[in-house]
Amino acid sequence: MRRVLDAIDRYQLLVAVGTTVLWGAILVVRVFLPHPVGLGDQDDGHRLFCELGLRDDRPWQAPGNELVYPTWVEHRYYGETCGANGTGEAYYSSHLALLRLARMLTPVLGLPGALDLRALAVICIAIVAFALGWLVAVLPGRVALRFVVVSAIGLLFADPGVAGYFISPYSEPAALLSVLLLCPALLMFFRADRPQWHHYLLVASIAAFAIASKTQMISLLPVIVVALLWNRRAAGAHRAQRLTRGFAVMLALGLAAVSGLYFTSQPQRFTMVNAYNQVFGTILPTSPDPAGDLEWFGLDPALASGSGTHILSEDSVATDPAYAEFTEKVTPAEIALFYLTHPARLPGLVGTGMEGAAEFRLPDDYAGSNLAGSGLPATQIDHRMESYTFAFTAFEVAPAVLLGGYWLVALIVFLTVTYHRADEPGVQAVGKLGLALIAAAFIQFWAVMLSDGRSDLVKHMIVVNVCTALTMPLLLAAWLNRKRRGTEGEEQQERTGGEADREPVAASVPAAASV
Amino acid sequence: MARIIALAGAILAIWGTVVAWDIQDPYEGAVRSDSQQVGTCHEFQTEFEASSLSDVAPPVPCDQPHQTETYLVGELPEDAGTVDGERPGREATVALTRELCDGSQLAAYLGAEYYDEHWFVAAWPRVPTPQEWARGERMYRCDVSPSAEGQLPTMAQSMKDILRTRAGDDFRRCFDAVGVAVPCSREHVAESVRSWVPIPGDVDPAAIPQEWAERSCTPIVSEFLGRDVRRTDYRIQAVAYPDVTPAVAQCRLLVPAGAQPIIGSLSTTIREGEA
Repeated sequence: MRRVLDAIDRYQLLVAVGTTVLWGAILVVRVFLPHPVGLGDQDDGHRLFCELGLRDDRPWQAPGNELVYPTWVEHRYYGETCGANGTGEAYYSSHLALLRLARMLTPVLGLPGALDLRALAVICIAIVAFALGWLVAVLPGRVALRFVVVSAIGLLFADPGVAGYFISPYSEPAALLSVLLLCPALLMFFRADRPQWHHYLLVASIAAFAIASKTQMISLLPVIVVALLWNRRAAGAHRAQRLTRGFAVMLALGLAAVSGLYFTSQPQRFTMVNAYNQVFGTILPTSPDPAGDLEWFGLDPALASGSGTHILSEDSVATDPAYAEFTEKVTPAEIALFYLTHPARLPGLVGTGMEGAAEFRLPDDYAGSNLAGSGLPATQIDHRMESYTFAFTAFEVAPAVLLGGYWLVALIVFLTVTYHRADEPGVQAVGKLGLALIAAAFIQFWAVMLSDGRSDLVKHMIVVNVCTALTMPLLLAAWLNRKRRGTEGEEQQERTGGEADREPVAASVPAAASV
Repeated sequence: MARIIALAGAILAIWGTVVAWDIQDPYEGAVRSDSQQVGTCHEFQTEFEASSLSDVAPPVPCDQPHQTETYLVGELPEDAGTVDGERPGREATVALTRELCDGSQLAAYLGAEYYDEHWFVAAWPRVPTPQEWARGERMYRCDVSPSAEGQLPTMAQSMKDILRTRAGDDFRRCFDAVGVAVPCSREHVAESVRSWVPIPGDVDPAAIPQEWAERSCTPIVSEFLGRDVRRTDYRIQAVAYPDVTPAVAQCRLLVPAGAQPIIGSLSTTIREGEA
């Protein structure tokens, strides 16, 4: 043990552990004190929890979204009573892993029921705190600067837009936590002089967990595949490097296979509801020719009366005999083809999507934050530690211009950092991570818009929001490192009387943290 | 050390990914849809189970707490389903079975006489599961349950012929002093009689004359009570159905003038008294 400890930079370990403990404590206070807060259920929880044989301990017909019902009790479901939207089609998500852990933790914490969402929150907080500690160890630069950057990320996960999900029945925590865990994993991967098999394996396995959390997270696949295959340092003539390269290709293929398996095993009902939302909730309401659009899909133009409806609403056309062909004719590929052949519709689609992406947290009337049994009012919204929620309001002024502009500026900065700071692997890795996050946000944006469309838009954009928000501290990291390099360059110049101008800057930078 | 930590993290993430597919089998212990018959009782605890298109949970004895009871079993029309033989979509199936689970079959099961209404009950259509449908199974069933607002509907006895007993008062429609529909098992001042009396053109539906009401409703209410209503202290009222064209009225039986609200259906009371 002593030898192991000696092998690790004890100081780095202390900083990492200290950050983990500090942010763990901050998040515990934020979520649980003076009373626990979470996010009410918009009927999404059943499809996930029923797969574990659980039902919420909620009074019959009590609205699930006004208060949070944290206690889930054992229940035996038969046939299609469990599954996606009452169809019995199994709903798979890697979030079930976190729920299994929460189930184990519930009796340990003395909480009621078979699974209590407060136990899930403890697990979520532990993962966030661990990720922050890991990040502080792998970010480049001085400890104080790294801590500032990591704390900015900590604030992101303490914001109600994210922390609200910790005590909630949604599958978003798995997606958001895995995006966070990918940050230090990718940083470590990008920073490695010659990435080893374990670097690749860690990135690929966290990415697989992320992709298996929610259908739309398949958008991470191209980003991670490019990242795995991008690192040119792994390439080379040596046999070991060729083996590592081959391992990376194998992992990329494996990740694609997992993604494909996950995507195809998702309920058909989701595809059907998404297609309905896309056509009747997104395309037709803004169309100059709804009947013509329906004819393009090969559908009866009379279905145009369903424009603006939801599949479950009273005026839904899903019971119309003409709707029978809908699911066969309106596939995700057909929807993508529709937009490709109707490019004039894209600005409207982008504008709508940007409006959703510019809102960091859910609308106030979406779901209450207080727990049932707490005696606190229903539908009340948690406002603790709002930071990114506040920052994102700046985008709401002109979402398409400001958020799109931000992505563009961030893209340019990260490209610059990646290609002009090749002498500093740490800073370059920050640039690469930033590029990965911008790409993930952009692809996720389109995954949302081409699947659910306008329906439940703000909630579905949360991963876009978090990827975008994560780039902000990374821009800060890039800027702080640039400033530090400038300062240290000046100090060097003063010491050497100008000789530093001819010295590689990296030579004056302390060795980056290694894990 | 870094390798060990990374490997542990990777194993944890892979475990998390793999368990996404490790879920319970909901068909383990299930029964076939076509094995359930009229008079079987069924239990559910969640709204998702209540609104499920199929129910393959094992039935429970009707003298134990349960939520629904099967009152009708039938075969779906041959042309039900999609052209490729799949079960119709959820919305289409619900619309189809709403037509099949009609009120007359339910009334007969509950033991309703011709002039008896049945209220505060809900019908739940069930069709075969998608897998059963694919095997050619087309049997459907209609279940009935109490529909107490905001409460899990629970019964601990069969609802067959329940309107012929005092327990059936929970499913008869009465009106309280302010005109709100309540079960006849609660305090009320009027009781509804299943009737559909055309209102002639010279009668104002908004202010039906008492003379016309008594003339039109007396035979109906008398048959409902099983005795001549004119030989009792009870009064008769005719109320126009709203938004129905041409206008029709419904007959009601009112407690005697100045009397306190009563509990229990008058028809049940009188029938019990005669028995």
